[in-house]
Amino acid sequence: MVERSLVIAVAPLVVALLLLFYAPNIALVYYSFYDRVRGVFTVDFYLDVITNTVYLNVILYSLTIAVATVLATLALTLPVAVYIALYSRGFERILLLVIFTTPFWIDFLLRAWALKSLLYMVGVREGFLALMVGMVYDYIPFMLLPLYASLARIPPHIVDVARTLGAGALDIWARIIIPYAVPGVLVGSTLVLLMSFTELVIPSLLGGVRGFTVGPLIYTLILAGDDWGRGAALAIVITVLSVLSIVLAYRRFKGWLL
Amino acid sequence: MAGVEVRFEDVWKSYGAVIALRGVTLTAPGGRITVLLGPSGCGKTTLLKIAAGLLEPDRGRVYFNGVDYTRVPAERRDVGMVFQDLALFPHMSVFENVAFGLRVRGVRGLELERRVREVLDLVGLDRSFYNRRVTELSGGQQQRVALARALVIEPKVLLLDEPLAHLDYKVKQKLLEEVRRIQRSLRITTIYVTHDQLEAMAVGDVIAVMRDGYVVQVGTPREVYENPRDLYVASFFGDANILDSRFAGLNSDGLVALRFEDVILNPNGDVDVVYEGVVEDIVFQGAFVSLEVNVNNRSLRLLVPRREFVRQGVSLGSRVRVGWKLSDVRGFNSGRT
Repeated sequence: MVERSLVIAVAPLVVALLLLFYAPNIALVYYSFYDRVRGVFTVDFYLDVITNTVYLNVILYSLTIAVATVLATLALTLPVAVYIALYSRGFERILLLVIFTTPFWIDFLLRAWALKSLLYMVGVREGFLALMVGMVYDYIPFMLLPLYASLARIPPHIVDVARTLGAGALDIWARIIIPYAVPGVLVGSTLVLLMSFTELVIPSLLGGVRGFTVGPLIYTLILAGDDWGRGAALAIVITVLSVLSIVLAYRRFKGWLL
Repeated sequence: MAGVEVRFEDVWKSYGAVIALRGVTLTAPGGRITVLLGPSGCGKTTLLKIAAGLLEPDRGRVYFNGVDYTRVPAERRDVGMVFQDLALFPHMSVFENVAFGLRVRGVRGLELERRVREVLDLVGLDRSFYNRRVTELSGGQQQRVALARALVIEPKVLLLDEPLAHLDYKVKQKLLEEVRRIQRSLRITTIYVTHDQLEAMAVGDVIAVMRDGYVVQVGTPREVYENPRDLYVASFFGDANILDSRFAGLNSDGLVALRFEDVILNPNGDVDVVYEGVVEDIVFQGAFVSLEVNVNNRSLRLLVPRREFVRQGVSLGSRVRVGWKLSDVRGFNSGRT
């Protein structure tokens, strides 16, 4: 009985995903192999994408920005997550979680425009700095919440016990906090990496000429250049790269997962 | 080694508006088990955490063998602490849990292995446990790991916060014995927090009865049991009838305490006060039977050995005599007998 009602309840989402996600992506694969001009199937678009240094540079540059965003959000949110999970309780904890996530109740486009105005006011124009500020700002909750969720599993009194056993601050970080944080770091990094790698809005609004990352590149290829083949091939290369890096990261840290 | 003496001097601590400790002065003698006994919220765990260095008192001092330790942080005190919830490291094996305190002290290799093995032997966990996850163990086994983890660093003081609170009766009895055995063999100063008077009597060399942030009375279990300082101690440490002084046979006003077992059923002489009454309740407790006798609309509790109860053939509604010696009546303040 439960199974039957579950099937019915799950169906809308499955149908929506099939129609709105999987079908377009299959279409994307089709476009990446089909040359509309010559009317033949070909791997030329892929060869183009992975041999053209212009594309490769954009991919590398985007990846650098994405990795920098991951590291910056991690560095900024880890102390906050530790404080909230280990040293706050009751109302204070709820208040802190709300304070750190309310900015994200505002639409991301509005936020990006507002940030642009703010940065202008302090004399920061579009460019690498503005781009990074926008990225880090936008992705903070995607790092903070998984980190907090991991660290909140640290049982009460564990840090106290460790202290009575002679553990200083370094020991507590190395032997308790970090091991517990690893799953959160992996999940948070995955989310932030995937989203920031192909981010479109922030590079376009805040990056200026330095904002030409893969997001805007694919956008330009397909919508401005009507080059569906290269745009699709590029998108798929990025997807494969992302999935590969995640699989490698999880393999590397499998032993660390609690 | 006689063990480190721990002394609290006029220790105060409050959490916001709540005052947890109101000037506690207490000495935990070296090499002995001192029990902090009291209901929840009396401040006993706060006092323990102050001994551990996990809390700083608002006022007052803590001395280890006469040296002021008040501002020494927990990680430099060499205390072994077992928390009520044990707080084992769930992400580590039994061996690693116990090894923790040695690893952070830089002990490595064979010495580390030897010391972990010795202390696990002491608490009765053999090799087959070393690689088990602590989450797979029973309550009693987890208890042993927590104790071993605290002992492996050869602490100056062992601090136990209701360590057996969640265990079954039998396991608890066994571990109480073992705590005593281990403590005696190591002669380590131990402060043991509990709200359970039976546990307190079973392990305590010294009992400190606490209430509302004060230490009300300190003494050996027998001293405190036989000469409670006030009605609170009399009824919290052991059970007692609280009676009107004149009803109890004294020539003064006020309230007095009379232990359940000091009330004698159908006495033959050798008592100073005798009343008649009706048995209203019988609770079989094993070695003893607890009776409630109504005497002139006052309710008296008696604890009678089972054999005596059987011999007298008492049942519900029986008319009985009850009596006691005046020397067993505990008066307080000026009315002490």
